[in-house]
Amino acid sequence: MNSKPILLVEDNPSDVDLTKRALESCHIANDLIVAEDGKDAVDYLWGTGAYAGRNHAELPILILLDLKIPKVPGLEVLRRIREDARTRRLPVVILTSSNEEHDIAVSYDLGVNSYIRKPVDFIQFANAIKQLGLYWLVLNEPPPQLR
Amino acid sequence: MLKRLAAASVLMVILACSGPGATPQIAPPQTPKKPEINITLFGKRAHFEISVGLLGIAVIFALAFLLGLALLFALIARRRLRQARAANQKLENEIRERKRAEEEVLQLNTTLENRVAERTQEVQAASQQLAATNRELEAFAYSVSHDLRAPLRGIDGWSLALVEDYGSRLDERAQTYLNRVRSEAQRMGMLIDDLLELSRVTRVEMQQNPVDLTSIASRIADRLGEARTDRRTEFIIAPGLTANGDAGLLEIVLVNLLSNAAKFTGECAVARIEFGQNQKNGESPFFVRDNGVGFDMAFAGSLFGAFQRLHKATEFPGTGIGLATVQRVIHRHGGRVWAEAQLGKGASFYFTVGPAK
Repeated sequence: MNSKPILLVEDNPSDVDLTKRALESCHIANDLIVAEDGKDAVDYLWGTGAYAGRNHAELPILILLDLKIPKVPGLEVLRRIREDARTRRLPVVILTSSNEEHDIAVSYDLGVNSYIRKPVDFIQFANAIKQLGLYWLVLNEPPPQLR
Repeated sequence: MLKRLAAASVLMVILACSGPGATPQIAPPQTPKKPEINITLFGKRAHFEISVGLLGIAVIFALAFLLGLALLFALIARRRLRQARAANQKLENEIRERKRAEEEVLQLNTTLENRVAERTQEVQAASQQLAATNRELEAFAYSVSHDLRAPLRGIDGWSLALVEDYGSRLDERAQTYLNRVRSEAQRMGMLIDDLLELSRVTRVEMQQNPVDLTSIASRIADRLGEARTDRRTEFIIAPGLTANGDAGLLEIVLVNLLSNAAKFTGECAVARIEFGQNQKNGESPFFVRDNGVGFDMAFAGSLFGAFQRLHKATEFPGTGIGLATVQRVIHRHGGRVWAEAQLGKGASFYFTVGPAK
């Protein structure tokens, strides 16, 4: 299993903890970097702001991105990731509460790898996280710079 | 002036022809003598001596004739000129009139155009406002979709965490309660989804399938019965009731009507809630009937309006959205919904699914 960290962009602390719990329950041991808003996520990926000086060549193996987050919206974060040659190939999975058709369409237009609607039922949620982890961290061949 | 000249020339001709003083005295050829002409004109005597003989007389006649002719032409021309002037004047008046009419038409056109522009602006403003309202509604739905589901996930997730991590310290009843919390959270999640679906009513296509209303009603009744442990509730659900429509939306109808029935029979020692189908005036409406507090039919008109409530919130809590939701769903199915009630003697809600045959 790839040992690079997972970047979770999520502003709801309960959802952050539930995601951690779900990851633990299916034995995914990768570090979980939590960005509580869109700006945090951008700063982490480009080594700016609070993450100034971070070696931004080190990229996460997977980004779990919520859409409705403060400062920089999720779709804008996704757009920036896809615009930069350095981050373009990062696997990004939208993990959000809404299933608004518009959000889904725009996410795919911007080149998202997957779109998951977080179920209310935690068992279903944990199952979704487990499958995501298994797929993106084990089955999937990551882009060259993430190997 | 012209007249005077004309008179003078005519007189000259007459005098030249017949006047005794004016008659040329032609001398006999044998005594060649210069002819003399005496003319009395305007009281003065003119004396001409004519030495050109007959040719001269002819010339004078011709001249006089020409002069007369010229005057005649002048007179005619003058008359024609006057007529032409009059015609011209008339024409000018007509042109002026026409121009005025044209200007009037132009003015009217401009007014009309302005009015059309004004109306267009009004319509545009109204449609902009409608679009803004729609955007607001969509933003509201979006917010509900995001923000109301997240806490439910928390309620469900942490209840499960409690069972998973502390299950050994919880007895069976505590675990049942936690499971109830989870199932309620999940049900609310589903209801939020259905309500969002309803708010998207103009955007999403409605499913048309045979729907087993009996089994939906039974499921809802079980849930409602479980929630009312303190008093007896009798559900009488007719078997084999089906309708053609959208299962999710029709479930919202039944949830609302049956929950209302349960709510408004809260005071009854034995609550009786019935779901069935009638034959009435060629229609076969479904009905949900209860023996609860009912309501005064005088207020029935506002029953299905959004946020309309007939009871105090302290007596019976609620948002007042339920029956508006029911009506919207039924109308989308082409059916109708109405109520019959009597204060203190229960209420019956009737609905048809699809237009009357």
